[in-house]
Amino acid sequence: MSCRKASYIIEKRWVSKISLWEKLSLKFHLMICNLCRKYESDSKILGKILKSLNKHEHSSHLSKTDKDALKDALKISE
Amino acid sequence: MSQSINISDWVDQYADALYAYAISRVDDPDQAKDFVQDTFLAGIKSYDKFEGKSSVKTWLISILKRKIIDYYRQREARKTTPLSHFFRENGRKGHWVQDMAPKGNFAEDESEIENEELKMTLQSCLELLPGKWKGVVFDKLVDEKDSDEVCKEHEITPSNLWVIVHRAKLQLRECLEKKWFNA
Ligand SMILES: [Zn+2]
Repeated sequence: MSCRKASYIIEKRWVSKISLWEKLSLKFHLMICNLCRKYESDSKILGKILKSLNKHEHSSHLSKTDKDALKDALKISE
Repeated sequence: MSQSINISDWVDQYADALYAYAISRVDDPDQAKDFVQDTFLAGIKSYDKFEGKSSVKTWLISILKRKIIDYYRQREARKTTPLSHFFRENGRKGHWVQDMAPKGNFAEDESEIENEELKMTLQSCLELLPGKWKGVVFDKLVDEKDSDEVCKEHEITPSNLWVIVHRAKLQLRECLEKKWFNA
């Protein structure tokens, strides 16, 4: 298996089921490939940071001023 | 003709929910406000066609979702990095290109995951992805939505999803390594 394929299966495995064949060939590749082991480790951390973006710093509400402006804009265009 | 819509009531009842959804997708308050306004406009225009099969709120959210998808689609496709940037095409075919070899150093900073600056750096890397990928990455990797749902919403197959996730993670990993871990 190439590193290209191995990295693909690593990513596929985070989001979906993989076949037994994919599982075994990935396992074998990771045994012999130091770089893909590093990729797997980085990819896992990257996944965690991505998930942490879920909490947004912006307020999730509109202010009264925003809502009044919105009402005016909608009434004009009606 | 917009039969019996009270615009003020609509805004009071639904604007926050629409805005909360939009801001979670675009991370830009002004753009999110535009989406809310456009959604209300579309809703007012097509209220005649609303069959009442769902609540008004669900119906408006579905209009908003469609608008956000179109927005990402219309934005000029950003540069997608070819796989040959990461993997060799001759010699040891499919092996890591030397300069692109992962260093595996992300784990050293695992304790910093909640670091706001790190998040902002990753956000800036996300901005560089092609528009369509960005929406998929947000839904699947940030919000961890069900894969079937993501495929349906973005009109892609499961293997499209795996390819996008693979390519996006390769690009994001490289970007973050350059901007954060090696900086
Ligand atoms: Zn490898």
